[in-house]
Amino acid sequence: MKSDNLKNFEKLVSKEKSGWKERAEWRKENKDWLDFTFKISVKILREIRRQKPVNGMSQKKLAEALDVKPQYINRILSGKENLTLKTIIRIGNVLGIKLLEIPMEQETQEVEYPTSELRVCYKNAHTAGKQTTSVEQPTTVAAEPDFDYISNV
Amino acid sequence: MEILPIFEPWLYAFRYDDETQDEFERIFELWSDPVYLEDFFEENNDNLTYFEIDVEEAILETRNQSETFESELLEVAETQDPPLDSMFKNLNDEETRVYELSKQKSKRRWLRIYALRIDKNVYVVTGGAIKLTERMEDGPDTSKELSKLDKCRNFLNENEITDVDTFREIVSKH
Repeated sequence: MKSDNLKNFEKLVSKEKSGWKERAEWRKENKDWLDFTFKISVKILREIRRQKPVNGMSQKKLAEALDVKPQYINRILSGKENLTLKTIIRIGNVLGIKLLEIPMEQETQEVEYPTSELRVCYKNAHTAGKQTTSVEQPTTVAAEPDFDYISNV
Repeated sequence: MEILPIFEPWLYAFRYDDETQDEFERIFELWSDPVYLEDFFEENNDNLTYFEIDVEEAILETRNQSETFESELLEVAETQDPPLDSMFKNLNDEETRVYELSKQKSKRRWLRIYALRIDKNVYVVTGGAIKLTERMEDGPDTSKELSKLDKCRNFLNENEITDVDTFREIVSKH
């Protein structure tokens, strides 16, 4: 049985729903690229702060140097803009820092895909109920010229 | 101010007149906003000494903690009978009894969600903050959260939701 407190409380609750759940699910679904852009934003923000007393760098100056509107820089720095490689490199060039680095020494990882999600695979990489491919496909292809691509798109 | 459901009939949050988002939505937006976090930790750099961490590490750590916290809450939101009584603790660590309208906190490292307990497993969030000082009164953000807890409790009292002390007062008057 509900207490009087609970009954009185429920009378105060708005019919409008919080936007949290929708936003939280969006953040979860987009976690990979959001994590990546978040780190880039932090790097840019720290560098602007470091350069400010030296050369007067600011978000406005960065926008001018990139020939974009300050609002676009705001969106980038808020970490919610899905950045292109070109933009990341241009910002890095203006600030004189490296924002991207490819770990060339990283070992190839095996990645498993459910059959239904597989778009492109190697013909002879079939296993029972699933198919495998690797992250560094171009290298593998060069080493295995007999492999044939199948597209199920 | 208004009260919005986060996941009914268990968790709710206040939305203040000067805000477009309720407090629960607002704090998780803030904890994933690099601009806010960079400013915050730069301003509170001195308090990071205790944690032996620099500003950049603190920002990334906050983001990681917030993601995990939010992910757990999403899971809790999907359960039939969310165990909110085990997620929230008394604001005052020394206080052991739990009663209606008691001030509560849910924490993960330095992240805090503040709430008032309405009933068993039913809570209304009043705000949240990054707590870097030992006492809430010592940090500007956490100090503001204390005022918000009081303001919200008064609002609920005015709307006939009573706390134990008020109840005791009524009993003694009669």
